[in-house]
Amino acid sequence: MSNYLAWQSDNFITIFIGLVLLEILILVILSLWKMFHNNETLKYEFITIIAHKYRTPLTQVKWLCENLLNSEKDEYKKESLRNINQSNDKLIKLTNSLIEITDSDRSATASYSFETVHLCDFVRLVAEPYKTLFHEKNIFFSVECVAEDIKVKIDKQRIEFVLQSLLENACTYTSPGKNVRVIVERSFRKGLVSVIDQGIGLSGGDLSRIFTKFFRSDSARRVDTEGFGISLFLSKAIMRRHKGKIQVSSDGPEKGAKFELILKVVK
Amino acid sequence: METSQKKKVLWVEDDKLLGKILGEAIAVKGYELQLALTGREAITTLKDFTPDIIMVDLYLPGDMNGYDILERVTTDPRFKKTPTIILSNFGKTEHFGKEHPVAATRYLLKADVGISQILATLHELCPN
Repeated sequence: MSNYLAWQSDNFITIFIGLVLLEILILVILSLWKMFHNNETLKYEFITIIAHKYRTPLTQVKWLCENLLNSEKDEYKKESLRNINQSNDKLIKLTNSLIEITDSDRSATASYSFETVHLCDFVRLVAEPYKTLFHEKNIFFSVECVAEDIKVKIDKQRIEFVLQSLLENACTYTSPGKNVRVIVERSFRKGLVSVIDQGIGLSGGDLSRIFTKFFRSDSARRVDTEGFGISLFLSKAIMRRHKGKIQVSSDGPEKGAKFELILKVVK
Repeated sequence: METSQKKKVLWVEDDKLLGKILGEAIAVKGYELQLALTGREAITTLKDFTPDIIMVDLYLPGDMNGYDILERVTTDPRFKKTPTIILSNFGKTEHFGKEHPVAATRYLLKADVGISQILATLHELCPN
């Protein structure tokens, strides 16, 4: 009888401890949920501040510059205004990236607007303005469409950002006299866009961290001090939301790099 | 062009400098512009001003935002065929607090477009 009572008492203690642990677990989950919810609220507040408080003065500068450029006759002043406008556009782009980064870890694609495009046409269109940029730096630049009829469903604005980031990186980290090639091809049900450069390349360690938020390799920092280390992180997040992929390969430092975008082909 | 023949634009924008810069450009293009600083002011203006096109900012002071104005406008038979433009610094895909079902004819992000692009859109939807 005393053994039975002891066994019952042990069971009671076990159940009691179990219940306490369960209650603690529920409290932890609730506080984590609350924390997550608060983070979401903070995120929206952050977007609100950035969107309105930053973009408004940037818009004022942009519109004032445009107004002045239309009426200014002095070529020297015009050039200065164009420079102000270009710097302002860089800030606008950076602000857009900050908003995108805030939004990047949400798994939902609610803010995405997908439409079907011809991959070759789209890549050519995005690459077109970069021809001048590469030419000015004396880099040989080409866009090759191996297969023409590749249709993909994308958020044009987002994939444009991804492509622009790859092209800007290729231009920044490739020396004059070298090549940068963009190849669009099809592999079974996938559309592939490769950006292949002969630039500074990546070490094994850099390859594993290249898509990490704010990561910049030492060699990248030496070539360009202005980079932020967010464009590839954002590109990965964008590709993930397209159920696609971005991958990189390099034979090592000073041996160039190949960035590859993989998108699902649609009918 | 006589005032009566001019196409009428109602623009709801609380930033006075932006209102001045673009407002002058709109007037130069021959439109008659009414600028409202708040949603309430816009609704009051609409009582005796019938615009041919309505442009709204989303983030406005007071108890009415741009979507509230669009909701009022799209349900008013007088403005059934009036084109609308959202001219905001909140991107189309950036959540404005919550998803909103009201849509405008065009959506322009202020920081991404120049005055010439806005005027071109205005002309496309409401040629004068």
